[in-house]
Amino acid sequence: MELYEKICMGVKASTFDAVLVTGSDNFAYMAGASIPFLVLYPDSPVAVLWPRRGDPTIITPEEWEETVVALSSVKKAKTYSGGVDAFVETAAGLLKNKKEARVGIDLLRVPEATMELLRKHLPSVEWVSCDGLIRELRSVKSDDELELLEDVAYKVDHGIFGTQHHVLITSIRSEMSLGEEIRVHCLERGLDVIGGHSISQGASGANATKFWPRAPYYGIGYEKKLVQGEFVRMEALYSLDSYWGTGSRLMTQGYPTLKQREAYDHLVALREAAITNMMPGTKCSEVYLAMKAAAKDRGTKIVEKLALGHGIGVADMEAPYISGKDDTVLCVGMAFVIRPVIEGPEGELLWSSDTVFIEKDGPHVVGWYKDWRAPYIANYTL
Amino acid sequence: MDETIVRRLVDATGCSAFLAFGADNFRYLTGATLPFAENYPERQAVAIIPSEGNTCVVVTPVDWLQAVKDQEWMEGAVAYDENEGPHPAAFVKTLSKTLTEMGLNKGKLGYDAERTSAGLVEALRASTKAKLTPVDGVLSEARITKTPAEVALIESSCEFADRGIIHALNHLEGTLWGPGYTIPEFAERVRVHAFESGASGVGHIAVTMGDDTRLEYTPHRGDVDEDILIRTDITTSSMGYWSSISRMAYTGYAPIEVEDAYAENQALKLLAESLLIPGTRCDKIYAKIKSEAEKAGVKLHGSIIGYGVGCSHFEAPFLVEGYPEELKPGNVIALGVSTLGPRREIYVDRDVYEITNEGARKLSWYRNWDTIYEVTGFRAVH
Repeated sequence: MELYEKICMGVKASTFDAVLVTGSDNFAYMAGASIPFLVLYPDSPVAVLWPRRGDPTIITPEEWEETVVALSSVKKAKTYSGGVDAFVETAAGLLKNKKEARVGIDLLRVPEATMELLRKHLPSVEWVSCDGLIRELRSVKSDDELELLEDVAYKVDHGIFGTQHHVLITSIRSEMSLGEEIRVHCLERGLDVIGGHSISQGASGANATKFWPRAPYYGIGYEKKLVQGEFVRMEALYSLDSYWGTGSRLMTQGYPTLKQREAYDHLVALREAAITNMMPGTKCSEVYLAMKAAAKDRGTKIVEKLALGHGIGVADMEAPYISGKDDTVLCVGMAFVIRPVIEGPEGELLWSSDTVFIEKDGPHVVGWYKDWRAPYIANYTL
Repeated sequence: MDETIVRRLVDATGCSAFLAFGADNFRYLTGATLPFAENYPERQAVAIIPSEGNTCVVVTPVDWLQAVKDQEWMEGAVAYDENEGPHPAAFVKTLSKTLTEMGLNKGKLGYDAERTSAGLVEALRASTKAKLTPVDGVLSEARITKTPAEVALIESSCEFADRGIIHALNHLEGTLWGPGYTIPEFAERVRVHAFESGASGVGHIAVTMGDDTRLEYTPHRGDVDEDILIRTDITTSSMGYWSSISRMAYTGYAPIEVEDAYAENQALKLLAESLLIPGTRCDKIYAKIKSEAEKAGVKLHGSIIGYGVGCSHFEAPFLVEGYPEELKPGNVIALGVSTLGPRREIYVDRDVYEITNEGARKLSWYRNWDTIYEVTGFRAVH
C-alpha cells in the first residue's frame, strides 16, 4: 500500500485531472501488476486510468480481466472486446465526464495511432505528457521496492556464482549448458520463470567479442566449449514480482593472465570511480564524466555510445541514466545498475554490472554474493 | 522479405521511404530480429527503406547493431549515441541526420504509427521537414499473406513449441509421487526443450495448474501435484517468425468431467478448423462457433478464437466479432477456442494453420492432441 499511496499523492499533487498510463512497464508500476506478457501484445493494450480523486480503473481485454485484476493492486476494471479501437472507446467512456479535462498520458509509450484515436474521441480533452511525473515516481523507490530489488540482485548474483561453481577448467561445458545452468540456478533461488527476456547468456573467448553472439539465438548460447585461459562473460536477467535484477560477472578459465587481470582491474577502477561519485546531490552526467575520466587516466577503452549505467525497477533498464546528458540529480532511494563496457585483451567485451542504492550516507552496493574485486577463477577441482 | 517487393510497396504509397520502428515490422522489412526490443521502450531502432535508389539504413543502439549485421544485413547501419540526450532525443538526433544524408528530409515518409510512441513522433516532427504519414494498413496487408519461406519458418517454430511442451510433460512421467517437479521447473523445461529443439526465442510462457487454470497467467510458483489440470501456453520463434501453441494435460487419469470438457472444446475447435477456407469471413467463423457453443451449452472464454502469427505472435487476421475480412491463401492462423470447464478452468488447445486453396493445413503437426495428455507413466524419459 505504501507504493499505492505514493502514486495517489503524486497524481493528486500533479496538474492533471487524471492520468492514463498505457506502457506495460508504467502499468506494472502503477497497478502493482506482475504480468510479463502484456508487453508482447501491443494490439491488446492494458492501461490504468488514475483520476486525481477517486479510485483508479484498469482497462483490459475481456479475456484477461480476471487475470489482470487478480495480479494487480488496482481492483476496479473496465473491459473491452476487440482491438485498439475498442480500447479507445472504453477509455473515452471512462473520461466522458471529464470534458475539457487536462489528462496526463505517457506519450513516450502510447502509440501515435492510439493517441490520434483518443484525440478524435475526446477532442475537448487537453492531452499532456505525464512521462515526467511517471519517471519521477519510478526513479525514487519505496522501502519495499528497494528490499525486493536487493533480494533479486542477490539471487541473480548467487545464480551466476552457483553456475560458476560448477565449472571446471578441464570439464567439457558448452556455452549453451552454461546459459541453461544459470537459468536453473536463478529459478532454484525463487526468481520468476517468465518468457521473453528473462534470460541468461554465457559468452567465452571469441564469442565474448560480441554483445549478442549467434544472433538471433539470443540468450541460448553456442555449442562452443569453454577453453582454458579464456575470459567467460556470464549474464542473467531475472525478476521477482515484476522487479528486475540484471547481473553480469566474469570468470577466467584458470588463473587470469596478466592482461586479463589488468582488464579486470580497469573494471574495478571504473566501479570505484562511479561509487565514489554517486553521492546524493550529484548529477548523473557528473558520475558519467568521472567514470570517463577514470578510464582515460588508466588508458582503458570504454565502448562508446552506451550509457555507463541506468536505473532499475519494474524495467531492467529505466531512467535515470548514467549518461552524458542526463542531468538528473541523485537522491536517496534511487537504484542503479552501473555497467561500463570495456574491451579485453583479445577484444572481448567485458562488463561486471553492480546494483547500487543511493542512501543518505552515500552509495551502497547491494547483492554481492562474492567479493567482485576479482573475477571468479575456475579451478581444476570442485 | 524480397527487397524489390518492399521497395514497390513503398513506391505504391507515394512515400519516399518507410520508417519501421516496431520490432515486428523491423524484422519483416530487414530480416533481422532485434534482441528483446519490445522490452526496452527507451531504446529504439528503425529501418529506413527508401522507394528506390538509396541504400537502406538501420539506426539502432550500438549493441543491437552488431546483432543486426550478424543476420546478413549488408546495407547501411548507424549506431546512435545514448549519451547525446535522454530518450528519445539521442535517437531522433541521429535519425534526423541520417535522413538528411539520405536526402529524405522532405517529402512524405511512411511509418508504423501503431508501433511508434507519440512522444517519438512529436520529437521527429520537430526535427524534419518531411511529412510523416501512417502506413500500418499497407504493412499489415503485406504481412498478412505469407510466402512459402515464411510459412516454413512458422512451421518449424510450431514444432519447437510442441516439442518444448511434450518433452517437458514426458519428464513429469514417474515423478508425481516422488519429490517431483515444481511449476517453475516445469515451465523452464518447456523453454529448455524448445531451445534444444531449435527455437531461436521464446516469447510468452504461461503454465497454469489446478485452480489457476481459471486465469490466463499466474507467476510460476508451487509444486506439480497429482490429479490436476495443466494448461501450457507458449509462443516460440524461429528466426523471428512466431508460433502460438496451447496444450492441456492432466496429472493422472483424467476424470470424466475433464474428458467431457476437453471433448466439448475439441468439437468446437474441429468445427472452426473446418471453416478455415479461403473466402470465409473471419467474423462469421467466430459467430458460428459462438452460436454452436451456445447450442451445446458450452461457455466461451473471451471474445477471440484465432489470430494471425508471423513476425509477431498476435497479428491480423483476427477471428473475432467485427472483423469482416475474408480468409485468403497464405494467411496463417493460430486457432484456439477457449472454453470454460466445470470449475471455470480455461480449456484451450491451440494449433497453427496455413490457409491454402485446399483448406487449412495444420503446421503444428508434431503430435495428435485430440485427447487430453494424461501424465500416468512411470518413467521420466523422452
